Amino acid sequence: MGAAAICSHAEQNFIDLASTWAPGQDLANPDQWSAPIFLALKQAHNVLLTDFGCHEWSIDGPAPASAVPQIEGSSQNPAANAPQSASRNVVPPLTLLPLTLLCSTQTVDSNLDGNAKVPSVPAQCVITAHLMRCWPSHQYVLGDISLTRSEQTLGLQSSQRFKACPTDPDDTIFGLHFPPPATDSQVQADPSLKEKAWHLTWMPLAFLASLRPQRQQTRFTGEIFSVRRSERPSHFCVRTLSHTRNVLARSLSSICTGITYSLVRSTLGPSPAMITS
Amino acid sequence: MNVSAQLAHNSGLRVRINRKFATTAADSNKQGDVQAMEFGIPGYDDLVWDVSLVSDRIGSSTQHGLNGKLQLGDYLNARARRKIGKFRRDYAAKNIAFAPAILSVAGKIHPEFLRLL
Repeated sequence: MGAAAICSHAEQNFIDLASTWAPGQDLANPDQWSAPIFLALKQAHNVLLTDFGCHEWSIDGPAPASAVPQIEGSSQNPAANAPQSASRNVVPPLTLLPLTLLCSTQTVDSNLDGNAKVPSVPAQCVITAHLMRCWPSHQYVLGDISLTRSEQTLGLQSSQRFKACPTDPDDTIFGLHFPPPATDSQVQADPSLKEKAWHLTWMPLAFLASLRPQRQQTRFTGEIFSVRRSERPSHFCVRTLSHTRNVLARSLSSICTGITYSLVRSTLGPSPAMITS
Repeated sequence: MNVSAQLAHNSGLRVRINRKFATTAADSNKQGDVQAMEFGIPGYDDLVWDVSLVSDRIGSSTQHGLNGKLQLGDYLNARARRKIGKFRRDYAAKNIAFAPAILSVAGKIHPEFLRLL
């Protein structure tokens, strides 16, 4: 009963996802799938079968011996290893549900005799554990992962710090609104003046602090995720970008208000957070 | 632009948006984005700033995962210099100060815009 309930739950999730993201597809016929999300599922399924020692469930029984992968570094000769270490190095095959049964496991369940094993969708933790056991022979994948853009984006989103009043007065027209920087002779006389120079700090991602999923003003409304078939993707993007723009505009306003407040505080009280002295 | 104008308005300044001004330059269609009246800069009556967005990446996405080539150098300052060269002298003839308000798509800011904020 428990297995049947799990199958039913997974099956219902699959059907719900398919009806939302790939409507009109025949779920029981993978050969006719054309939706990108289903093609990606087929590709992942094939990779698991060919490269990661998985096999499809069949009513006949357990996996063939050829499907059992060896961990790299272990001897191919079973006699060379002790039985305990051999059992550690051999990865037991992972049984996957055939794609044709993803939406009809209950039908198969009802047709099984008493000795047959009930098909089930393996839990994500089981799949992850199986993949990690096979990982040593797939470490070459690391060479194909590019971190360049991530590093560049991190650099773009790091905080910026400027002198409130630059050394060259021609670089700003707001010089009189900030205390002038100490001259070299003044710094030589009192080195602490160099540390006391005003700086402005800008954090591009500071607006995230004002975003909360629980706030009505900042969270994405549910309607932008409910794309109808008649709606073009561009319309979805426009609505999303428009909403994002409004959120950012409100956030920028709050940030700027905070800066203004900090400027006022700097003349009245202790040093503010945005302007360090 | 609207956000910065609203901020100036909320600060008690009189604000004009997208207002053309008479100039002695040949190109009479120049206009800044926001004009704040009586901003308080010595020697000038008003302040005009022009908001501009700069993309951090240029070119097509020929390399997978990069979506264009990252701009090198101080591209925010280059855009600010271009704006200053276009506007500042003409506005100064009318006793109006000019400041560029430059942001990048990724969120980086030009220091003069930060000082204005």
